[in-house]
Amino acid sequence: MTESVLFYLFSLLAVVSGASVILQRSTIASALSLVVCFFALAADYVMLDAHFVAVVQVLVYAGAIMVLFIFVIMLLNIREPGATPVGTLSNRGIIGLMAAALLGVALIAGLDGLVHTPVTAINVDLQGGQPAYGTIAAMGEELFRGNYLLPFEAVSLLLTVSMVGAVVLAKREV
Amino acid sequence: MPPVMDSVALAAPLVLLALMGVVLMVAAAVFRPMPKGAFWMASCATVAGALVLVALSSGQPANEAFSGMLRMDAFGNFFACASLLGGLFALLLTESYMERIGVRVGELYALMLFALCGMLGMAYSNDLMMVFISLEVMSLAIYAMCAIKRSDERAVESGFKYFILGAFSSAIMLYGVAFVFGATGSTSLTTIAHSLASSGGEAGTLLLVGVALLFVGFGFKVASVPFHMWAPDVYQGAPTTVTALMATGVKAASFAAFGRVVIGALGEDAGHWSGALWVMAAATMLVGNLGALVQNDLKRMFAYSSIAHAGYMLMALSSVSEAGAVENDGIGSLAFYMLAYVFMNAGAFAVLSLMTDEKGDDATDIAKLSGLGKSHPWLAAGLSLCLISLAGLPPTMGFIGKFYLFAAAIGAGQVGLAMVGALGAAAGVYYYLRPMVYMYMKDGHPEIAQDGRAKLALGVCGALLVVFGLMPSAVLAWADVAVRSVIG
Repeated sequence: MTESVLFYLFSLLAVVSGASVILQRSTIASALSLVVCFFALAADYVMLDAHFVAVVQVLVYAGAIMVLFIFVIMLLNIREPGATPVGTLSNRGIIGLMAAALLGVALIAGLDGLVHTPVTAINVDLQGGQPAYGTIAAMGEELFRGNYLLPFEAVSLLLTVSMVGAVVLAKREV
Repeated sequence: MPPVMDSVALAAPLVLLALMGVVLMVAAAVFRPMPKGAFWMASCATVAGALVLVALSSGQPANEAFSGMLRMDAFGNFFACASLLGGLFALLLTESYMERIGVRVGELYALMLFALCGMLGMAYSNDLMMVFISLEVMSLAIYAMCAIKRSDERAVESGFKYFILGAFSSAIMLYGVAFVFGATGSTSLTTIAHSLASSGGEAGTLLLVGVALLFVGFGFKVASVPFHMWAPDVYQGAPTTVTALMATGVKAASFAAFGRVVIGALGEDAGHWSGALWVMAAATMLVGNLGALVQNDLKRMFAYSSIAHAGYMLMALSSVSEAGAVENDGIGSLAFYMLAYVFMNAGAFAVLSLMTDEKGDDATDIAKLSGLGKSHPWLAAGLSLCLISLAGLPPTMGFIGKFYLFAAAIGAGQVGLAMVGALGAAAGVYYYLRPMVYMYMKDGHPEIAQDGRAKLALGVCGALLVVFGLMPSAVLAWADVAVRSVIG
């Protein structure tokens, strides 16, 4: 019960912050709304037992990619657009609204089919028959005790090398 | 001991290189400006230590580490030794050369150790995933080292060109890995070999596409035609000691991985790819040798020479796969020639690294060698020995190596390929003897830096070339055991 309440709460947050991304006038506010949206989605993933995806969502999207976005915004120094009178719709706005309406209809039609399928069947299918599938424990087991220990460690060496290389080539002479 | 620690102990040389790389990386950030000698000495000691570790494990039977990701066998040991020797010789030249061209970057030594760790990974990898990651570790470190002299436009161009094209070829190779995985259900070379054997050695379209893409990736790394375009510019622009590492260690590691994939994993179905290898080998020998004829810059000439030698070694690979491997006597020729190639290039680059002008730029035009025979008789003699070996003339290791290469090709029934190779080698004699004409028959005052370590490297390489040229049997036997260990 609490889980589904939380799920809907986070979903609502994701939708609201998603809307805020496109409605905000300031680019930096848009970007920060996107961060909220990413976190809300990550929380939803946790509710769906996809723990690893949730962690990656936070690390990669909310962490790395958003930092990149904000860096670019700050570097390019994007000014707030000149005052467009509120309430007027451009041609582009109308086309966008129509596209959004179409997508909404398609989504509702698709979800309608899902709603009538028994939930248990979907769950089993998504989890590939194994209850632990997708959890951090299962991923960690594979990475640290299973077959992929060495590639995992080697990739961290690879990242170290690329970082050293980038710093050596990019830093100012001292 | 938990099983993971067993694997770590087996992979001790790689662990040592990676750990010391990290130590030097941190030390380079702490000790600024770079203290003279310390970094160089630490990295030399590390590489020598890794060599000792590899030598200590060379008597052991083949062993799998990290659930089959690495296979510690004689083949890996042989090529790991070749790469580490190449790295050690390049390191010997590095410090004073970098001083001359005005590069004082401690991270260079960390990158060097990381690159060598990647090379060892390629030599031992028994899984396409590990082959790819090791290749990237090696390559990324080399890209950065190429451009380490940032004030030199040509060095930056060299690093950038190598990086862009290398990234592109890596992507193609990764795509090939995906196809091979799709066709055989595994990235493990052992499993791929089993799945080929159980299908009666009949490859499906999916596997053919995958292997073709893999060949593109490996072909780029060993600089074989038609994936050789980068080599002349990159070899010429990069700092000479980095070029030395590229010509020795990178080449050995790439051929190790290439050889393990072709002989170990795909040996069952050799008929399908030996044709492709045949064409690649023939084109590479011709283009490399003919391209080298017209070069006046020594580094550029050695780039073409390295392309030509990639062709000779591809010929060995082609003949091993053609002859169904096991019954072929010349099977060790690939490994033997690789070791000879490391010694002769390391020796030659020891002399090239001394050719810098007072502004700290490379002065490797062939005319700059004029009069070297009079002013520096020992250097000239050492360089001549390396050139004679590269040309494949007796009494050097290069002669024995070429002899076995061609014998293997003819033994495998590839007479046509051997003839193309002989034509190329004949052209090679011309451009390898040309620097000797400048050294001994023209007058001039060559600007040659004084560096005892480079002389040491040259002396050791020259001595080994002659000793193994006159008494090759021990190395030949080792090379034979090495290549046989990867079959089945």
